[in-house]
Amino acid sequence: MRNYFLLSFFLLFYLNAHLQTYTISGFIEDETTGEKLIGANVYNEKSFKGTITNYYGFYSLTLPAGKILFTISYVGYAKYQQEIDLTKDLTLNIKLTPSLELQEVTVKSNSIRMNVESTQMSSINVPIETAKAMPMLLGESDILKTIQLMPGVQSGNEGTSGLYVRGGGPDQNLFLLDGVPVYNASHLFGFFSVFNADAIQSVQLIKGGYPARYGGRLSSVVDIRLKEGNNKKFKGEGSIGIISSKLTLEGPVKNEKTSFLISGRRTYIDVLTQPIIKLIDNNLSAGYYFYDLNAKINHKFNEKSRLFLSAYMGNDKAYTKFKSEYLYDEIKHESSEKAGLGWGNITTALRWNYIINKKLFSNTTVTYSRYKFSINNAYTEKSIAANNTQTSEYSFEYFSGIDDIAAKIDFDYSPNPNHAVKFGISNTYHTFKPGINVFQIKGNAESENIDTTFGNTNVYANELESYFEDDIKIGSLLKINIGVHYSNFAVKNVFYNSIQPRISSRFVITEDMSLKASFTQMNQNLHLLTNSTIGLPTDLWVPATDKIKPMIAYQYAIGAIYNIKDEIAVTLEGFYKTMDNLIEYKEGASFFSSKNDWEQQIENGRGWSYGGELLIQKDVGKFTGWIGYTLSWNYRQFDNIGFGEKFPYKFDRRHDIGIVISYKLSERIDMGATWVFGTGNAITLAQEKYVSYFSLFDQNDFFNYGGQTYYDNLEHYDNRNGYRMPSYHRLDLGINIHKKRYWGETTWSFGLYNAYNRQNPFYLYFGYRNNYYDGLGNNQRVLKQVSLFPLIPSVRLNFKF
Amino acid sequence: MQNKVLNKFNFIILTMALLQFGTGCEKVLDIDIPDNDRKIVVNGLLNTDSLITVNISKSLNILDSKNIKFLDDAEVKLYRNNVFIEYLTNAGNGNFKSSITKPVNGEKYKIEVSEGNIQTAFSETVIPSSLIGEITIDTTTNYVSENQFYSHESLECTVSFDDPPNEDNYYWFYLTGLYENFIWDSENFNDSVVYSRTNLYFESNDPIIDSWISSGKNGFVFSDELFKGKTIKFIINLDKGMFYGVDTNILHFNVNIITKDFYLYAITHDKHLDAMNNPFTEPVQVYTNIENGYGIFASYTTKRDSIMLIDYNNYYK
Repeated sequence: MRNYFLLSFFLLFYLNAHLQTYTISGFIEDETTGEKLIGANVYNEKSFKGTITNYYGFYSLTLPAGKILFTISYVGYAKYQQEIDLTKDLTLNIKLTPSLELQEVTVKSNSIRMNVESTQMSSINVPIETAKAMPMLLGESDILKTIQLMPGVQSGNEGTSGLYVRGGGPDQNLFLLDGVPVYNASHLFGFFSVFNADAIQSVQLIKGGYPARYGGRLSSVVDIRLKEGNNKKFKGEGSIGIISSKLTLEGPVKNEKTSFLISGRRTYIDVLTQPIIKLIDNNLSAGYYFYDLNAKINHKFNEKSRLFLSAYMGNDKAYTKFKSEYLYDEIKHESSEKAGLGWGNITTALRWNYIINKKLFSNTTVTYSRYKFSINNAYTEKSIAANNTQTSEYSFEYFSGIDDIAAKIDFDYSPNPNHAVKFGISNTYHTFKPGINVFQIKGNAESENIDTTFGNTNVYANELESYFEDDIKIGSLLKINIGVHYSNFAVKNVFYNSIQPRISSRFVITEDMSLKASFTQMNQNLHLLTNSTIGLPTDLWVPATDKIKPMIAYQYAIGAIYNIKDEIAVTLEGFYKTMDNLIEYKEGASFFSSKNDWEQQIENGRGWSYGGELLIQKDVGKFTGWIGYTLSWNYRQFDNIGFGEKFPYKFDRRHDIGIVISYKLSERIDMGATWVFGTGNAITLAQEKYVSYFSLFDQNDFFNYGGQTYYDNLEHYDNRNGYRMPSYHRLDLGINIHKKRYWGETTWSFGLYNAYNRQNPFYLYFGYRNNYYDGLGNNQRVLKQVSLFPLIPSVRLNFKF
Repeated sequence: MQNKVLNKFNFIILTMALLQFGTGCEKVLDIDIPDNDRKIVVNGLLNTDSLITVNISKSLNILDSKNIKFLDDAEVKLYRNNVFIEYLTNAGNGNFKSSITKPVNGEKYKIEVSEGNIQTAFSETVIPSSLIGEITIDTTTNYVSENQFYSHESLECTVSFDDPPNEDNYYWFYLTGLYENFIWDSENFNDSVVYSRTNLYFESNDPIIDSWISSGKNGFVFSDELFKGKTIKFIINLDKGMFYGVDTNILHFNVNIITKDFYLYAITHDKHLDAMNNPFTEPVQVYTNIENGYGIFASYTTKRDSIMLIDYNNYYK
């Protein structure tokens, strides 16, 4: 009997492989802009065998000879269909028409149906246009804050754009901007992300069931692709807001073969506050700003060969400058002091797409990225006498950062509709700069001069990665994506090799419903050292070393997706994730404070999380949006922290809800509302206090207050993260009013952040009821909550031409 | 120093962030904090120069408006090498003293404190050996620019001594001054001598420092981790302005060998206070070696060397 099955299987496989087949391949693009469409569904509607376009809009579909109904669908575009009698290989470059210009009924797409078909689970394509229209803090649209509203993703502290995915930390997300990792993805101390929505074509969030092509982080991949630039005509869009303005320009350079895109954004808090600061002190200048710039140019050599060059540059800078001068004893004294704090990323990518043959697509990329953080302080003093001028200068700079140079080549191979193979190899050379100090003194005499550099030495590491994955269709019901990701990390003469299996599968129950399951292993060779409970630019990226092992996560997930009338997708998933070799500083340790190597200041531990997620999403029609709900548990355990007992992760949230609604009232007006709810963050609160030894026995360490001796108290904590802050919830409302102009279109966006003025907790501290201590113990000691954002209205003018 | 700079910057960052949005508000929160049983707090640091004294108090609920509750009715038993010696006598404000016992190097002292219904607290310490070798102090005077035309004098002292081999040693260094001032007694037409002794502030950026104690005046602690059995050397700086106009100054350089318990208490104490003032860092628990209680019961031995400054009147150049 067993032999019979084996023989049947073999024959089926053999026959399947030797049916006469032909390949249709080509690019799918937007008819009006020429932008390539990523993830468009390409299939034969008669057999529902199909594929999706890759990140460059390319597809390759091999089908048996005969008549097919060649179909292309993509959310927001009219479905394309063509009867084809397949008797030879074909190249079809298709242009899809945006649905805005079409009747409502044509907008329905088969994307949900294709999601039912896909093996990929735990993945969300973030709707960019919805994200841009949503009400946001100060009217600044933000892709990462949109992602925070999805199930399985938790936000950190109020207003910040950090992502905590399925129990992971903010350092466990791989942010890829056109394939280049971005290390610090936030501006303004975490309040805004570095990604400018106007320049973005697509965003995909993957929080589990990772395909083998991704690696290097434990908890999520946020794959962001920039627009290529309109290759039909010159276009522009921009906006003017309360704290920033932005402008994006794009257009063709030459005969639809070359196009460009450039997009910039800058805040002007510094410009607005400068007159006020001058009023306070004319000698003082202080401010803060950030800017970012995206640029991309692409050139099509021919139908087989395209070249892309993209770059991102963003910086944050806070500064103060102070000048003074006075005359004394006929000598004029001048002094100036300036201090600054800055951080920023640069990423560049040069990419070459080449179609080797109709079934094999290649993408070769060379990238460079840099993250730098610096603090500087400089002081100059001049003494100007009648016949003599003397100058002395002092300067100090501390900087840290990470530089990456990488090269990689990826292949997409589509031998037949039952296989979609991807494989590739990459190499990244990391330079970690974990803190360098430059100290200079320049005096009048040569002997007084100091010019020295000290601090931690650079650490160099090489990361070689390769992968292979195949999306295999087995019969009409079962499809499996199976792959392996290999990583070799070399640092300080130590080599870490890991072979990470990835498997995800779907089983079709009905035409509108499928079950999915996945198992993945992810390794992360980089660690983020931080003492803070919020992400700050001072946090340091360091590599795994001979003493600190790479982090490893195993994730199991099961789920189901249900399609309601091709309009609403209902996704239900459950997951269990373990994370090993997590690091934390020893209690009270910090990177800078010890004479010992930082590696000796680290505690190793583990974490685990589990939960369920529900997403109900509607992307088409007048009424769009989603409801996301997460029920999860998230723990950490370190042998030497909290007596080795498990404790809740600080962003362990039992319940997390995000509801986003957008309604198009008319062609001129659309409205949006967002409501979020989250169980309060876990925090460590003291239960007891007691007197300090030094306060008792050092006469200068206590003092007399209102007739009572006041001693310094120490606090005792029973459990780490044993308390919960009050729950977080907030409603944001927005309305967009569009108006056609002869030159284009304007949109006024009005928003209300925290519409019902909820006082959400930012942090808690112990104080006294009326903010003072009377020394007699009469005033009541209480726990106080500090909130950050009350109701904040915003207005923004957007324009397009 | 870098840590302090960065902590400062973190605060600047957060302050700026708050100011940018400028609308933060505050409210009192009612939260259920379990009122566990209170514990005995023992604070005692024994040394071979003094009779044993410890302070006994009680922990308080974190929301208690009182600052301290001394346990003057406690029963405090003292043991030497596990043999009961005496009950310590209350001297008010929670202080319990021995009238006879001065600690001896190498001996183990145990304390047992009980009071009413509170769980009995225990702790013990072994008095460390004294530093055998001599302390060497080399001094040099530097001129520190205040501006282009004036500078003041700073006394740079290089302190060195030999670390006892084959053992883990922990140190506490601080500086004390004995001032000798001659005051003219106009009624009796003669000089009278006034002595005053105090801990002195000093500065140091020496990488040997693991943690300052409370402030520069109380010195710093360090371990011999990087100098096992070798000569330990560090540099401190004193502003000579503090001696201006004082007739005679005797500076005592106190190198104390401390128990590991006290070393851990000192470094966690400092970090605890830093973290307590920053709501965005994880709290740091202060080390304690008191079983069933809080505080510290530890010991040290002192080795001291001195230098003398006479008629220092030459501050500005």
